[in-house]
Amino acid sequence: MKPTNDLFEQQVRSKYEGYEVPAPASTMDAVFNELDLAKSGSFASKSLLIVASIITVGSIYMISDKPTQTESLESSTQIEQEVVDTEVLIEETTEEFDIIVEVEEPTTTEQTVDPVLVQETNVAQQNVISEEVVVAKKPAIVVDEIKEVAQPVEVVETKTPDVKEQKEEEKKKEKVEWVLPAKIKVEK
Amino acid sequence: MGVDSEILKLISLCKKGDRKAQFDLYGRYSGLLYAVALRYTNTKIDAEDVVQNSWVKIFSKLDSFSENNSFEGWMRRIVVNTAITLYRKNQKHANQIDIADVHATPRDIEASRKCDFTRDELERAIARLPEGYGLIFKLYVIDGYKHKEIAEMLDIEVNTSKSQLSRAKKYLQNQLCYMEKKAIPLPEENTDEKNK
Repeated sequence: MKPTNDLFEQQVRSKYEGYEVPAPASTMDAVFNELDLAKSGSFASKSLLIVASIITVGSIYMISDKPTQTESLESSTQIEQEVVDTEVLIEETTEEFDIIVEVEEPTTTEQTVDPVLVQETNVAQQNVISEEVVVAKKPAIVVDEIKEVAQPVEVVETKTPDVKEQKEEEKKKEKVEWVLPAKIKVEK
Repeated sequence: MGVDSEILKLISLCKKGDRKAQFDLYGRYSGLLYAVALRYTNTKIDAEDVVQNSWVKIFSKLDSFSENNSFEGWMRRIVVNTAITLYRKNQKHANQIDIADVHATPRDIEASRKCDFTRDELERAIARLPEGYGLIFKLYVIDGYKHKEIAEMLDIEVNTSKSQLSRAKKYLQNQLCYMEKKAIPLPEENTDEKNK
């Protein structure tokens, strides 16, 4: 309490020094009842918290013991493994495809028949693989790759004379073969 | 300003929840705190509510009491704060009445200083003040709060607190002096002389 020099203020303050009014008994009862309530309330809330924590811990423990969770965990790991395997496969196929594309270009210059046929089959298989890969990863690159693959088709067209030559040779052979029976017939 | 060892022992026992010590502490200070509550409330029912809530706060917040401060002052502050909270709650539904300017002359003030008055007279005079003015007067003059503290408690400007206190003091001085003048009996000496 701050001191004062004002005479009036000192006079007023002196009237209240040590001034007390007996409090009613009901106030005391009300105060201690409220204190008891607060105490019991805090005890009840603490016990409730403890019980709730025990139940939650127990339920977590019980749930963790069930096999379903382990199965699901295993299945998730399997899925992860599968995903990893497919990724590896995709990488491998793309690598093969790159190598084959490089090989295809020289085949056009060689103009041989048998290798080209083999390559065509390879290309057919590779196209399938590459399409799968493209769907999975790089759709933009697919167009280029298909264009590159289209070149051997042209090569096949250029090689059509070879097939004609073969046919002519076969026809010649047939002619020869046809001539022989004629000769046989003539001998008869 | 410290606390004597007996009170400190009581406080430490109360902190542990000792019911006997709590009764003892309540018995020591209940009259003082009830008087404070009565001063800051309009009715006995409000005063009882304030003092009840204050005692619950006192017992539950004994840990926050610093032994270097006055224990009585700490408890009085809790009661005053609880009463102010109630006042502010009621104030939302009440219209603030402004005090009319009291033109107290220096002679009036001088006269009031010489006047003597009882606590009842003072309380009756304070009761005639608008509530805000009376509250500031009681907080500043009787309980020794500073204007800054009053401004924070009542959510008003410091200058408002100062000006309202000044007006309240002038008004009370004028009222108390007037009441004393009324109570002064007519001088008998003159009448005796006249009879002679």
